[in-house]
Amino acid sequence: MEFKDYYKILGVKPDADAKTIKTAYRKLAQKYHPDMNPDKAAEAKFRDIAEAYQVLKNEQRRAEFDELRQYGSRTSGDFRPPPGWQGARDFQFSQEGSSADFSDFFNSIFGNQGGFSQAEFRQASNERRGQDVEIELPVFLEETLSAFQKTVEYTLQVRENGQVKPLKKHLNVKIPQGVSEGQRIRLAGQGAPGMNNGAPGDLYLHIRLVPHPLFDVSGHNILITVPLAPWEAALGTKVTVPTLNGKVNLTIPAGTQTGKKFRMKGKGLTSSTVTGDLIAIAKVVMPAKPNAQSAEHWRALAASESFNPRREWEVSS
Amino acid sequence: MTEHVNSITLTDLCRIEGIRRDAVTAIVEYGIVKPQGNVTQEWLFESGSVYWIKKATRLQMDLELDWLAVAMVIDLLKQKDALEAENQRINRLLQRFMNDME
Repeated sequence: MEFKDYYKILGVKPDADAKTIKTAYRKLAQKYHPDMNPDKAAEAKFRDIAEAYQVLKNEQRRAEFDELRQYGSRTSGDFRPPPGWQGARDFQFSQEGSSADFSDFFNSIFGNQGGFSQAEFRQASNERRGQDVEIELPVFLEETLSAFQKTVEYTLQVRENGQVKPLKKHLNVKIPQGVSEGQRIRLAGQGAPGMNNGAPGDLYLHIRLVPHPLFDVSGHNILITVPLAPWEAALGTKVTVPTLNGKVNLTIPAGTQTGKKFRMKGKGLTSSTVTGDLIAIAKVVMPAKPNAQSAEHWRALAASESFNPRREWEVSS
Repeated sequence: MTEHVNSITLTDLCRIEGIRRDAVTAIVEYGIVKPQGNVTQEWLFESGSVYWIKKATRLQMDLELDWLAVAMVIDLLKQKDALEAENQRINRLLQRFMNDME
């Protein structure tokens, strides 16, 4: 078993007072708490920090740890408590809701010895509900228009005979119509299995809409850019615009600017309560460098127009 | 076929997730999540709320915060999530109007 030096983990001296330990913990907890720091490595680090603090903040536990630290044998990373070691005489604290999960080192010192009667022991530490698991579920925009089935694959870390093993899971899930970016769907009992008859945790599917090559999403509306040739924008035209399910005709009026929006009612995303719109945004696109003949047309146009595209510069300067 | 569960009662939330009742009450009082239903017995929490309730409980315990501080942190985290999503959306849209640098 690996020895954990709780003083080193919190970055304090072995003779640090309670206040110093608390301050050190708070600083580290702020930095590494998994809810504040999405980095996976931070989660493991926070587990060590929380464990160290649980031991060092309590006088009795700290004294026991000090004893162990002084007399336990450490040979090439393998730690053994001193002979006849009996810790945790009144060990009881709750892990409810906490993100900390204690190490084997911790459990072997404080968790599994003395203090508990048989019944208390089973209640307090044996029977444990499995952890909730959250996975991201990529969903295509087209799929959200109606309820659909999706096969979800994920891997659980299962503890078996003291060893952690990966367990692959497959689930066929019915996803309701109109799911949106960031939504969470709970599947009861599909998370990590419990320990010693504890109930399994839940599985949460975190919906992530897959970026679409043509469409962007804004609430229930979807946006599409409509590329237009300069003469189409100038003279007006009719364009067939793709939607998530089919096509619609759009009339572009003469003199349309880049950025001009056109709303097509009811062609957006659909949920049980709302139907969004499709918003088409005009984007005037220049053809490649003009050949001699085209250049002649542009020059003729330039000569007959008094249009100044940079008029706003003159106003402000 | 596995059916999803839309919402969870207060009793189930406490039993299943191992969260104290008074913690959930504080979380609702401070406006961190809004359950459906007017009285405690009728409270129903949707899956998205459960995510924030669990986060709030962890922060309160692990960082030894009071609920007001937790409420502020969660509010900022929600704002950050919303801004990140908005930023990503606007960036994507902007890219559709941008070309390579000359």
